[in-house]
Amino acid sequence: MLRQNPNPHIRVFAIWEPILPTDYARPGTAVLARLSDARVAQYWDKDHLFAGQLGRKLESDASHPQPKCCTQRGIQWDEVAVYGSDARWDGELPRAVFLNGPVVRAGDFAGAVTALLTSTDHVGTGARISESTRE
Amino acid sequence: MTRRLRSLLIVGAVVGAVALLAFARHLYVGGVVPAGQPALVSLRAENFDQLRMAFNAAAGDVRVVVLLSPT
Repeated sequence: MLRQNPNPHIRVFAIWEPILPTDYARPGTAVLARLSDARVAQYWDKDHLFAGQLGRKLESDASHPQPKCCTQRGIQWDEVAVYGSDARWDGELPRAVFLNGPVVRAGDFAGAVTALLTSTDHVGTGARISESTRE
Repeated sequence: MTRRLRSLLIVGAVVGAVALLAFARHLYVGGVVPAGQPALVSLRAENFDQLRMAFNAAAGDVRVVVLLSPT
């Protein structure tokens, strides 16, 4: 998605969490290199803190988009959530515009991203990538 | 103990120590992120707010959160 869309108004928060028995350590350099774009920030969430917040949001907000999968021992994982430019995370997570998984099959999240960029007039600014937008 | 056996034991001990150090580094230090990205953050209850603040600091942009397993 990032390779196909150079728009600087996309930020990705990649949250790695231990789910499988082989996830015994923080992700190594080779794993982190799978997401090589400078618009990405990567986190290691050993205690599933974000997944916990997301799970609570899904329970408390019946109108929140519900993923068609993916939980493991009650932990949200292998999902993509897309948030609009006006979303603000205060006490609880804001409502996602899109939430689904598994990641490899959630290709329609790219459509959600494009729609949001269009609605916020961020389309076509890809050629104007500046360092200031990446602070 | 022959000289040859002693040499083999020393080499084995050195290789084992290096392997242990590499494994410990892998466990506790983790990898290096690609160029241009902020350093990998290990989230804990005490610093979880860093993620929330980074999320809010990017207001105005479309934000994508991906939950992944390393392996």
